[in-house]
Amino acid sequence: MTRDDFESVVHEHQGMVYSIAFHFFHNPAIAEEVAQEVFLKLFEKRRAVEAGAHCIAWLRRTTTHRCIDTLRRSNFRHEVQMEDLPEVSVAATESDPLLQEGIRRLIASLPDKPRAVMVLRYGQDMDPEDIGKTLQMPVRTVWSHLNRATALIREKAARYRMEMEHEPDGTRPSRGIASEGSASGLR
Amino acid sequence: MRKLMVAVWMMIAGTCLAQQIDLKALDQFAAKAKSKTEINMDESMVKSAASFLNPEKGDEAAVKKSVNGLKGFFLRSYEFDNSGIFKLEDLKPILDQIKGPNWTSFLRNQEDGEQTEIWFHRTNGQIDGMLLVAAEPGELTVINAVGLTRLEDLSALGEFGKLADQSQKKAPPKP
Amino acid sequence: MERDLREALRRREAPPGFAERVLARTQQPETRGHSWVWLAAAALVLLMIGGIGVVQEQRRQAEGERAKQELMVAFRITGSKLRDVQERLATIQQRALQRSEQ
Repeated sequence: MTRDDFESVVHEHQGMVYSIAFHFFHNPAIAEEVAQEVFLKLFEKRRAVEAGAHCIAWLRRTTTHRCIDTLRRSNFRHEVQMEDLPEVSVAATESDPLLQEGIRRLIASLPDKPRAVMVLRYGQDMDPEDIGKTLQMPVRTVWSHLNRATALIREKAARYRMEMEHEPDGTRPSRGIASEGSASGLR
Repeated sequence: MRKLMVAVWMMIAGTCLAQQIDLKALDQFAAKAKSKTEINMDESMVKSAASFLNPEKGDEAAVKKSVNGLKGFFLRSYEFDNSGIFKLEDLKPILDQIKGPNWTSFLRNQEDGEQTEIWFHRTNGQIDGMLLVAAEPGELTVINAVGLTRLEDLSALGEFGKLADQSQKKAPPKP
Repeated sequence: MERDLREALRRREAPPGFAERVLARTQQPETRGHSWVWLAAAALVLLMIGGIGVVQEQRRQAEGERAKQELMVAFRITGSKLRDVQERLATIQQRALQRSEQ
């Protein structure tokens, strides 16, 4: 990959790399830092990485590993056990984006591997086989993480919706603990 | 001019090599010996060896003092199973080399089938070489030390007394 | 559920100026990768030179020790022979003395 190729890659895939990091940490500052590091590493290794599919796979793999490493190195890791995931927080307004925000926060609270699996599956639309190769884990483990995490998120989302439907006075209750600790404590 | 250069070269060569004796004539005894010691050390080897001598270690310190100026050391020592393997006449090729005017005899003794000779080479009256021949039935030793100035230097590892004194006293009168 | 998940985790745009910031950082350590290679090569050359030097020194040491041992042997034999000569001289002198007294 030439230097010009590298520049093109940065412009073309900055969104993908940033997205993975953002959804992993739910923190834009950390996401940018990690994303920059990934591209700098690509720059160092550009002669060994071919543009195209090889490069995309490389970027996904490196970004995910960098996210996991950064999370593990951070002094404050506010991971929550799957069973202890907080309820989706309900704030004042009505729209589903709040549910989505809650889901994002929930995902950013998962342990590192399930978190990475969910981000790659639903954020990057990757097959479990490809996720397994990226994270160097067996496919059945990928499925296991997917199933557990999805089930829990589904359960909490369903509870949230139920509460929405049964609120007698039309207002939305403020309830639950916002899953704010996922990444805000990271330096 | 060319003849002059050849003459000068021969003088230099003669001066350099005069103290060194060709010991090839003794090679024939090496194969017949039951035990042998052969040492050929030119000036560079002597210097190299001297640099490894430990000045604080007994014997090595004594030798280190003695090798100053030594330009070569050539030794042949053979022991034979029986006394008939070599004869004193076999030493002639060695002794023929010390007939020049610069060689003077310090000691010559022949008795009961044993022969001991010590010769010094002098240049401008100064000792700068030595030949020792010690032959007896069943044993032959020839030692040639080039650059040697004092006999007692060679006895660094042995007792030595009057022989050293006598070597200093027997310098021939200058022509 | 899957729709919600995909919607929640949909691709985000990188912040404005992200690409420029990345490219700016790549301008500085242009030879970063190269310097590693050069450093490694230089280290290897130094190691080789050092290694050759060490081997040569070891050889010199071994040869010097060998020469030293030869010299020590030479001096021991010579010292021994000179002692023999001395003893023989003493014997000769003794005999000459006895003859003169007779």
